[in-house]
Amino acid sequence: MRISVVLPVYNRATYVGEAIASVLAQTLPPDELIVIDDGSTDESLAVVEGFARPGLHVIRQENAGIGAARNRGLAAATGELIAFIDSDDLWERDKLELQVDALRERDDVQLVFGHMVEFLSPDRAAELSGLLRVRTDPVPGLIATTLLARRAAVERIGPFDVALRVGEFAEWMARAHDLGLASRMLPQIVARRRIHGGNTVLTGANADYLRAIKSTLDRRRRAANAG
Amino acid sequence: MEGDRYCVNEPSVISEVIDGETIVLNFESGHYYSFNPSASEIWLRVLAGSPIASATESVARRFAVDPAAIRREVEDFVRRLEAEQLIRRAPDDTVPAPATVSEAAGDSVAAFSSPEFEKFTDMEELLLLDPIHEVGDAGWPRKPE
Repeated sequence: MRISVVLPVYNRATYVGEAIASVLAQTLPPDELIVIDDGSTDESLAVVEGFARPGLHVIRQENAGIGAARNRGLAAATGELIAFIDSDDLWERDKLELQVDALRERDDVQLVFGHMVEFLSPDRAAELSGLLRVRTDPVPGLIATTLLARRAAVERIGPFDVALRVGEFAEWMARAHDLGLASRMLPQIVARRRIHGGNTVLTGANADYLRAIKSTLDRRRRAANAG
Repeated sequence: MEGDRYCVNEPSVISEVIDGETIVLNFESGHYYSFNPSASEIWLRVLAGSPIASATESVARRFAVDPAAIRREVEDFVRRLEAEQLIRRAPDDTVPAPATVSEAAGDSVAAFSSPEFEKFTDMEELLLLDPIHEVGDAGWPRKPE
């Protein structure tokens, strides 16, 4: 099965190289890696282009947010399986292999996640130590970076809500849940999430969680009324 | 209880009125809530730092009912908010904020129904994981025992 990986990046020149390297180092390499540069003003694009090789596609767009960037990547993806990785996160080497095996075992499963750990980014460790919660013990990773999904499921769920700066993945997963799509959580650690103090969810915009919730409630009420 | 003042359990709890619906989210539990109109009125008064008696009067005015008739319901509801850890008692040294909450001007008087919230736990795992929590001066989030 062909695998497409979608990686949106916005001003993460320091970290995006490591994220890409963790994709390229997979024991089961993907067939394509689509990087969407969401209007970065730093060296992110140069870092990405430094990895130029067959199968790596770079798309530039005006800054439109993570949801719009992922949607752009999805539109370009040709694989039957879709994975996401955020530009500051890292995959474990066997992430894709474990998840592809899991999908092969169970035809009914549409989405596969895995556990994750967080780590304090070494470049910020001195200043941030003790200020941020870092989950160093494995937790079930219900984030975009840990997901491998069948393309058909992704198409049924639909695009990410481009109005949300945060909470966009929770809102998307709520739709997946309401569609009754079967998911599986692997016990293995498949990704490491970098905590660096500049994470989008730390930089305000928390009100978008409330908008994600409101949008989910309204959608469910419309469905209930229609049904 | 009438003179007691409460404050929203910040920064764990955030809220907003969106299209007339009050949505409250507790990042600490991953639970979220939708408030009915009388509950929203109480919530806005708590946000403004008003004592409970003033919240009762405000609800009574908005729904044109006798404050004495709803006092008990309002107090019970405030206890439920506290039990859900959405609010906590305001520290003694807080100065009550002036009543800046706008009256529901021009609204026709709606029929009163008891303050109520719908509580949702279905997105708990997603919401608990998604925010990367800052540990503020108040030691939030609390470390597990």
